[in-house]
Amino acid sequence: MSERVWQLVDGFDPLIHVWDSESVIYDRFSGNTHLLDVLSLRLVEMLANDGMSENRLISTMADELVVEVDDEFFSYIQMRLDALLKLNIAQSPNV
Amino acid sequence: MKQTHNLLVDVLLTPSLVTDFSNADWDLLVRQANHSRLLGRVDYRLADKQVPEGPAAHLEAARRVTQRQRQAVRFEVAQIRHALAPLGVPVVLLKGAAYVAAGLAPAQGRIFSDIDILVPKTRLEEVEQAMLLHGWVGGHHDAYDEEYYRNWMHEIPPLRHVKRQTVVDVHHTILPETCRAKPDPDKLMSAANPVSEHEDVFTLSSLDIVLHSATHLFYEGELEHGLRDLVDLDALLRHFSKDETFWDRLIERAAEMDLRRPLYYALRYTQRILQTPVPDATMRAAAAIGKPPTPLAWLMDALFGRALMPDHSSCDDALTPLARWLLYIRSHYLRMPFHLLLPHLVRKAIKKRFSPVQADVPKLEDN
Amino acid sequence: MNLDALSVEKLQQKLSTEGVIFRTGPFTVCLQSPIESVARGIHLLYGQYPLVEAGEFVDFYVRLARPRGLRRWLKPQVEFGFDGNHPFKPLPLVQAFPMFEWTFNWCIANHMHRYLVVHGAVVERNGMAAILPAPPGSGKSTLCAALVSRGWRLFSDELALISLHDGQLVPLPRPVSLKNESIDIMKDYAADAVFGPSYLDTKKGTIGHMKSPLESVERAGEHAKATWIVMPKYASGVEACLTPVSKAKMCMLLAENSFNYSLLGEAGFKILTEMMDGCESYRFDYSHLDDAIATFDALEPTAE
Repeated sequence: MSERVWQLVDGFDPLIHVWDSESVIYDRFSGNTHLLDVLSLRLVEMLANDGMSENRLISTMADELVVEVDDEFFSYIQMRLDALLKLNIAQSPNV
Repeated sequence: MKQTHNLLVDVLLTPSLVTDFSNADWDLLVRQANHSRLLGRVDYRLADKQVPEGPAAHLEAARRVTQRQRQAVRFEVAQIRHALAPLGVPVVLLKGAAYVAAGLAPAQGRIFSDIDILVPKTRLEEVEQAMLLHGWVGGHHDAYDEEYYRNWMHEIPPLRHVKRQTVVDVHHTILPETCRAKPDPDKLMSAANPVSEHEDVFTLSSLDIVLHSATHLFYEGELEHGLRDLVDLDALLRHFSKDETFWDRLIERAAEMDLRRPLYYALRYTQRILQTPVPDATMRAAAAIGKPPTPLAWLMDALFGRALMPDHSSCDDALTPLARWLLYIRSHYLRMPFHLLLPHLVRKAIKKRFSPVQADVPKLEDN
Repeated sequence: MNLDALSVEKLQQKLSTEGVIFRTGPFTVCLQSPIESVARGIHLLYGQYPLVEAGEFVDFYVRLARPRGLRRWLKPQVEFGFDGNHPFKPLPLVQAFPMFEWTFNWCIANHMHRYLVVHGAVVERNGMAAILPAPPGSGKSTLCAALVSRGWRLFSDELALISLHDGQLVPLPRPVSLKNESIDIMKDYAADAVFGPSYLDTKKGTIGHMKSPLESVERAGEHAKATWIVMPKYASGVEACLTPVSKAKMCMLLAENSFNYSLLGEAGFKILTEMMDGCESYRFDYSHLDDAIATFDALEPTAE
């Protein structure tokens, strides 16, 4: 389990439009547009007010989806967090 | 001299003129403004005026471009700060980026290309390294260009971000070291003001912003944007002179920073062309310290008078191309020793850098 | 009065001197050119477009002429002048008319930011429009030409103009540009249509133009709402098949295939997402034009 803390990138200022299981996000700060699946979008929403540890993100998500936190779920969420990192939406600064 | 129809300046000075405009007038206004890069400014000045459909589309387009540019500048400045803050290097924003950061009038309706920053010369190498680390790379310049920038100019070669393709010019003073005029960069930096959102990012003091703008205009050679730069200057002067002590302090600072001549030109031409309300006493004081000998002054009037017109054929007379050419030569003469000037100009001519670079015709993929 | 009220000779004479001002869709162009093939091309393919009086507001000042300099004797070329500026390198003189088409596209895509300009074709029927976004290899222009010859109204074969004010598509009926085999295919398929000369372009093959149907030009003032986004994919021997694509994915595709989406920022995002709300998106695989027409004709808007 990881104690990494995640937060949204400084200045991130999104407009969100959702269709079924996908969404498009426009960041008013960078001018970039991204496609996010609903899970990734939910992660962004959870981080909107404050940073959160990776553990807490995963357990909260598991509760919402009513699933077990197993290795598969764990890496599923981690993949999405890494994708958000690459898109410059989320960051995980050194503690 | 051919009758020139400087609708652009007329409208910038008196926006209400457009209420009596014919379609042909609108047509000429938009063309002149486009060529002079002032369409966004015209849009800003006509914000509360009725504009017919045809020109309205062009004004709207210019407005969207400038809005997007302001957004891009803010974002880019944040990225620069992110890259340089860990070094503890004070970063002073210059020109367009400064106007946006400080919310100054020239930011309204203006199009920027590069972002210009000023850093201490002693920290230049660190800054270059940090910028490189964060994705801004030097262009592929040949050895001559590299030397030209580093030794003779006042900046390192422009840095371009690999992903965003945005360009940052890193300066260590505001005029090339080869210039006879030597404004002290330390004085500029110690008078700089922090920008509200970030304490480690600064803009020059109001006096220095004006002097830098004047210096940039009257020392630079590529005057296609001369009128635009003059319009910026006019906006800055009108804004800062709301403080009555501004004019006297400006004269003092120009003397202190060795920038008497550009200040003289700035006040003279903004007043003559854009009717900037420069007090008589200030004009006399500026002339006393900065006016060139009479024959040169007459020549400069003839040259700048033409070069500061809108860069459109409707405003040219027979002497305009020559005037622009002479000012171009002059700007190089001012910036480098004579023995270097001629080979440099020859080299530039060979590289065809004087004429704009032509791209391939963009053909959409037909299928 | 339309352009073809002038004879070719008179048109050429005007083009060589003060220029000719005419309207295409929402744009007014002043064209000057001493080049004969330009006069002939304009007369043939823009004949039904209205002439505009001098003294009106002009959107684009275009000049196509031979560049000055010694090269004019060695290798005949044509250069694009944009109100005195020359942003592009010259092309071989024989390509003067296609150059008008290419540079006119550039004028619009680079300057008309009251529209979201997407690279794609637009056709319309019964007040409902289909956008055909166009990555290369899609067969978009051929399909567009075919639809237009079978009763669909031509909005554009290259530039979908989406108004930032109301999200509607704005017609820009112009010659449909065709490449290589498509030219002969369309000459067969649309026996009544008018075609311009073919131009050999050594880089991309042969190019030809099909004149816009008259009705499309006459109805250029009638806007329409986008109802379908159909991404065509031509492949030999394939059965005509519409596959739904998610709105989010199609939205991103349109943004990527747009000239000015990035520049428009928030306004572009809003208008695009709103448009997607009201559209169905498909990928369309096909090989036979008749099957394609039948598929399009059968498109019905789903009740939302």
